[in-house]
Amino acid sequence: MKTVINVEHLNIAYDDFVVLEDANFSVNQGEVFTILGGSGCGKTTLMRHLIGLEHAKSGSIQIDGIDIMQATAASQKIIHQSMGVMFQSGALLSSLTLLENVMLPLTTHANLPHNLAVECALLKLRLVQLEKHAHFYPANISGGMIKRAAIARAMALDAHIIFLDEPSAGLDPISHHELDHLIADLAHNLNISFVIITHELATITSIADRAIILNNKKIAAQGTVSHLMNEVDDPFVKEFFRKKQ
Amino acid sequence: MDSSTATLSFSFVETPQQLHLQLSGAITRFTWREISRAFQAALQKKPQQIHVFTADVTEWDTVGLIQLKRCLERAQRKIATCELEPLPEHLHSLWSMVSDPSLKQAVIPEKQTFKGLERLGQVIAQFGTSLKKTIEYTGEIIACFGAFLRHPKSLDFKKVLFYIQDVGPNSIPLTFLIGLLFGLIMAFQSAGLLKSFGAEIYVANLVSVALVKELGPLLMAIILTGRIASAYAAEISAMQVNQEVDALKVMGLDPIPYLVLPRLVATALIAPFVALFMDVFGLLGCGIVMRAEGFSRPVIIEQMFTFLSFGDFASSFIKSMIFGFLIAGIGCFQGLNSERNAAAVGVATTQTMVMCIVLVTSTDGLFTTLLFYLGV
Repeated sequence: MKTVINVEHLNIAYDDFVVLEDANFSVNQGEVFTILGGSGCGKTTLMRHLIGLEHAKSGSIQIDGIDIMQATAASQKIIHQSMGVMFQSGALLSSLTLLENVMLPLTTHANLPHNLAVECALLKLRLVQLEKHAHFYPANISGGMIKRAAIARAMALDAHIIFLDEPSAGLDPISHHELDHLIADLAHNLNISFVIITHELATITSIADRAIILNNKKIAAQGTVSHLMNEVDDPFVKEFFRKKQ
Repeated sequence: MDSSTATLSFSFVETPQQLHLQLSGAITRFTWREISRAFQAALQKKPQQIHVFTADVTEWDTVGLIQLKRCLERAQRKIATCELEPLPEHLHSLWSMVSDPSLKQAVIPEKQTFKGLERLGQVIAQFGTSLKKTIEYTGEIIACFGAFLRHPKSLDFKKVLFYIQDVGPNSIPLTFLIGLLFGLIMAFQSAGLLKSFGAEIYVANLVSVALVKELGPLLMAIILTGRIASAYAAEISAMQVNQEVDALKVMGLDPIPYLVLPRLVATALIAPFVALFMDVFGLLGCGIVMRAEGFSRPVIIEQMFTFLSFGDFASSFIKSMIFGFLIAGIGCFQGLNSERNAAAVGVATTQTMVMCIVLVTSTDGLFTTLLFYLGV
């Protein structure tokens, strides 16, 4: 199986404040990979480094074999087109409608004709059940809908790696279940790799292939979900899953 | 996926009634033009039926699927039959979604167009709403001032001091630059003209009267509009976007005394002093030109104050205070009444600038006319 993300000896620190030490993990093509850990342990910070928004102190992050930390601006642009990102707050452009938000990467990078881009954006909105709200502005929809629209935007270019920062937080149980189902479908059918930051045990157990758990500035454990839940002796990992249950 | 590696090739197998269009390679966003070309080439052969085969397609994405569906529909409109051989199983659910005709119908809202009387009515209605809001806001501020006068401790004086620092001392460098240059420019321009009458000594009188009575407060108002009113509008508008204003309301804190009053009091209090600094720096600029023309310092100073009375300074002081009040009031008003999106912050700032300049200039005109008839 092809490795799409490979992280080696990654050290993240802001001046003297260490966030993560010596992190090593990889994500395979078509895999649903989750990043777990307590609040403030550096999950979102790790994601920001993986997507190239911040530079680590040392180590390497390879996306499709290209080290994002050493990449030129032009290479980074190409890498960014191969990934979709949903930020924790949604980060939709509030001056654009949902349709325009989803169309933005399509018209900017794919150079598609307007009608094709509209249809494609509507399809992405339908995948998250928002096609009827296509002409709403982010200010006029709920927080959960903003998250779903942000997922649609992350999927706009059919990126083969999609990063989702707490996608199901704020969603109702039905939407949550449907979103998990959609992620699993896309990973399986279109061979998309998902890197998901989540606290939802249902997501972890139902769709995650592998996971890492961050604690105390290190990766406390990594492996398949059943391995983490049943075979890891680390007290934090045990406590994490016990409390979730 | 790299665009350079994504290609689509096509070939035909012709029978008397049918054309088999064989696609191979990638059906993705990188090959949407090639998909179109394959169908165009097939249609040029004018077949009665087209059968599309995709068994050799190795890469798929949603743009490719949509483009394939669009090309199939186009071909079906031109010839009797155009059939797609079954797609790989993992694409079935996506294909059924792509081919669902209701997707296209999803909500393209009709744009409202207003013409003639409708448009006029809309403008009048908007004006009425905005007038109502202005009256409400003014009323709330007056009520708030009343409460402040009855209970002076209700005003957060730490905040007032903070805004005084922002409006006053932090505006001095810009005031110095503009005042000095304005004084210099006015003195130079008038000196050239008055010299021909041998009356260049009156340059100091002209500049001092113009600065103290009119230009000092007006220039101060323009500086504070740019520095302060726009900042107030953007700050409060951003708070509105982030629901901070709503949070204040539900915590039982009225936004007017909490957000508006300290800004209003600080700006109205400090604005006359900024105007005074503007006068001083302007006169300094004028003095530099007069000294260069060979006039002595005592003469220049004496000339500057010959035609100025206490009333001129007092009216300038009051006018500046009113300008300060207007500038802060408009900035806060636009911020509080902005919509809840990022674009609204920009709109609030722009409207603040426009309203401040219009209202300050109009008030200045009214003030000058009033003082003229009062003989001040």
